Amino acid sequence: METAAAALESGASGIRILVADDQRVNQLILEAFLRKEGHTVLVANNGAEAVEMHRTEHPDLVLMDIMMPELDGLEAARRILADCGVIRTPLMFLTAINDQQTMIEGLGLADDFIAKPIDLAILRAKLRAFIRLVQSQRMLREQQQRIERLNDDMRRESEVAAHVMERVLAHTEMPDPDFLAYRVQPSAMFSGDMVLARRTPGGRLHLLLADAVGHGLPAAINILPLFFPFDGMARKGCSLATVARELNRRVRDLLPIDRFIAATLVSIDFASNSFEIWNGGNPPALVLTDEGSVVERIDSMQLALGLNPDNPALFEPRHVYCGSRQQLLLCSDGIWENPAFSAGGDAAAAVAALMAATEPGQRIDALFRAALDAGQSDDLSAVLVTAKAIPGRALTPPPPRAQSVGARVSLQFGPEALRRTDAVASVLDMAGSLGLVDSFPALPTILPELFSNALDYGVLGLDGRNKYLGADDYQAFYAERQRRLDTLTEGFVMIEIEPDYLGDTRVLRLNVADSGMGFDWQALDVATTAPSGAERSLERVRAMVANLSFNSQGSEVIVLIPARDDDGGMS
Amino acid sequence: MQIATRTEGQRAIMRLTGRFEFSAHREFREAVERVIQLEGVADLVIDLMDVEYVDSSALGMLLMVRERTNSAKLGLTLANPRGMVKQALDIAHFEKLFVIT
Repeated sequence: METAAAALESGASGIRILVADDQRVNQLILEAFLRKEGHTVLVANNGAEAVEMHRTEHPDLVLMDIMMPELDGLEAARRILADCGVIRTPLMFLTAINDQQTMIEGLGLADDFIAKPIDLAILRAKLRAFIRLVQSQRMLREQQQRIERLNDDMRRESEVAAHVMERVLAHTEMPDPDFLAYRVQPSAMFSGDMVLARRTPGGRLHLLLADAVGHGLPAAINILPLFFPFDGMARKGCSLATVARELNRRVRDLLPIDRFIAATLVSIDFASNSFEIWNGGNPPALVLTDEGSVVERIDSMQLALGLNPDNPALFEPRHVYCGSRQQLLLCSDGIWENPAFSAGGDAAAAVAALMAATEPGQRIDALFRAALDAGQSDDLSAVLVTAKAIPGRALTPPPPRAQSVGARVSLQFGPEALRRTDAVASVLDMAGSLGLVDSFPALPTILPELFSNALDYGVLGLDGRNKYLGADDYQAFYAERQRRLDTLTEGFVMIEIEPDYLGDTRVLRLNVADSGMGFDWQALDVATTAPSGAERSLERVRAMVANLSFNSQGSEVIVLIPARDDDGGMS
Repeated sequence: MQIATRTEGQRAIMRLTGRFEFSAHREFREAVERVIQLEGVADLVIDLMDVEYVDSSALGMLLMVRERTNSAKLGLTLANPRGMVKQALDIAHFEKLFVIT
């Protein structure tokens, strides 16, 4: 089929012309002349027929007599124009009428006049101008149709894309009124923001709030590939650092240079309310008290996903301990930069003020209501995690794991278990069945040392600085220890082991934490002359491990136990 | 957004004014290309003094310039970010990728 554009190019000028005249002789003259000029001619005998034929035949041009029976030319022209859409069919009146009023009325409807009797030379000249008009109108119509087709295609494609995205995101974990609220509000049909949640086999909750450059479909397409690695790795229990590093790698491999994804990753151990947080390019994460005051702020630590070099050190999370019922709030920049919060110049303060003024359970809703009321111009997303209510004091978080590579065993012993079971033997049994005792032969020596420190000096509160020089001292010590153990009603010792890497070296991470007050471990380094019982045992352990460290208050010790020489190349 | 480019010796200074957003994509790219084609220019300074807002696409465009100037062996500096613009660059940690003065 020849397009209008091609017809313009080639100079072909034949168009379809509707002639409306009640005089047979006029019809014959015009038809013969226009045919000779190369046009297709349609003939109507009166105004009513002209209106009907215009509807069915879609002529390019109408030549219309004004004085006609049935329906005169002026009224017929009015109806034809009413039938036209945005693009009007050009219309020329043929008339012998000379009165000014009719001329003016006619020109309001038609594009031109030609006087009767018709001068064919003038008609030819006028037609030339109309042909140009008709051809550009055809082109316009074709373009309009093409736009409509593209629009339909796009809508169909969008529906498919929206369906896929909806189905993918349906697989992430749903909010839970007890501990997890989140919401994503796209500014267009598609969201460039995404919130994902997945429980690890170890019972941690991995979370991701991601915000791709731009919004709409391209942003949504950019962000979708994060779902599968995040979800898959969380299901396998990979550490947050490993997940973050992998996501960074994926984004770098997949997206163009000017596209990146700001992301906050969080891993939560609700048992200890310990949060690992990695923020790459997102607004600060805030830790809020029940009353809504900000107790901690975790600013963007690194570049957004896709921009960081593949260096494991860049993906180490921050460790934050949340108190009972405290909340962690994550927002995308759509919230942060929304006029509701950015107007005063300090979005953090504005968000915090709103949080303080709102009940803990209503905070996400309040955030969105404020942002939507002020006018949304970007995708909005926010996550609010509520820490478990824990009576009494709990643990502070351990230092980062480099990489989760195998099974993690974690056992916690409360008063009853401490009295009745042999904690050390239980852990060693389990470690043995996983092959960890074979791989890390120092474990059975180290664990009892650290366990009895945790129990004796931590949970039972015995004085670790006593020197216990004589046999009597020991006896007194053990009697007191037994008495306290028998009457123990609260407290715990937690033991956790997990294979890990120190650089390229395989190690076993052993973590022993207790509910006690801790001790001043920084003084340990200088105590050399007369070591106490606790110091002696720690010195002994230190000699056997690749690394030994404490949390700040000394209630938790982490050691990295080297593998056997033939098992992973500890030199 | 308006872009005014001037040269001072070997330095080309692109001064941006207004909101630096996706809509400025084409003209920004063209302005950068023109600077890169200039004879004798060794450094490009993008002056952000009068930019009141950058969106994430603008940050993406800056990454694109970085790529272009790197391959054309030109120095690149982002100068005078203020207010929300400075905040956006801080949050994105662009100081790790750019010289910001």
